[in-house]
Amino acid sequence: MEGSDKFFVVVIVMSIIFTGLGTYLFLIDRKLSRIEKKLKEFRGSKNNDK
Amino acid sequence: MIKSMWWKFLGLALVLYSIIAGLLIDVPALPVIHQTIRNLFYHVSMWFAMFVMLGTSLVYSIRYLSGFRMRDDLMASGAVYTGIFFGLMGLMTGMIWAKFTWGDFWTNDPQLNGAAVSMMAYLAYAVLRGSIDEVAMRARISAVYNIFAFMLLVIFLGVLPRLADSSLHPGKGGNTSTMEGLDMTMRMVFYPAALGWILIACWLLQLHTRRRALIQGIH
Repeated sequence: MEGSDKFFVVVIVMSIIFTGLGTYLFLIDRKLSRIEKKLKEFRGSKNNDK
Repeated sequence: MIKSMWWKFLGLALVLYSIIAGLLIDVPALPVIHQTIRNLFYHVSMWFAMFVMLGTSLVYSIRYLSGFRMRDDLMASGAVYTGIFFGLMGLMTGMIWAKFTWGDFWTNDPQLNGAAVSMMAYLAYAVLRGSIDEVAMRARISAVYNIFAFMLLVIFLGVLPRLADSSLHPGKGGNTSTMEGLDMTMRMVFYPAALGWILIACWLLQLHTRRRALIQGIH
């Protein structure tokens, strides 16, 4: 496969796209964690009121 | 956070490695399939991820039936949906591969028909869940059905293709197994690819379950 057919350019492009998708997935995960934390705090403060 | 997320990054890294190495390594020159043997890294990984997801689902269904915790039902159904996703990806990529090597999108191969039947069984799981409004009853009935569906999967994908008289798939119908014919360089890409996709499937399942748990107020 190695050689002057510039095939490696396609490999780089595919790697960038996949890394982008992975980053997106990671950001969704982080956002979910924040919401979960907020909900936990909300539930905690509610219990303290009682 | 980073501590609990290492396996997610490992999954991404392994799949990224399989994309790069899978396209760049030299593959053995084989008749008929030629360069498409590289599909092994991507197409077969889909089925591995599907199997792990549906197996996970079976475990959580049994756990649900032994404790009736809604969180287990959430995991069981989420794993089935994630498994169906990877199964459909496997079917579609397999059809493209079959068209250009075996000459048709669908061949009368025991492995193909088995995959189709087991996918139907899991789509029926989704329909079954959709048709029951009462939450506890839906969880219980679908958990019992899920055990049945997994047995169908094992029979149709694991047993019948191996017993069949002939098959186009390696390792089935008396053919030599894929792993025996696989050279070392290809193994070095295939195993990481399969593991990477399994980890990403687990990640998707976790995201799916956490989102639904938030919406339904289950913790």
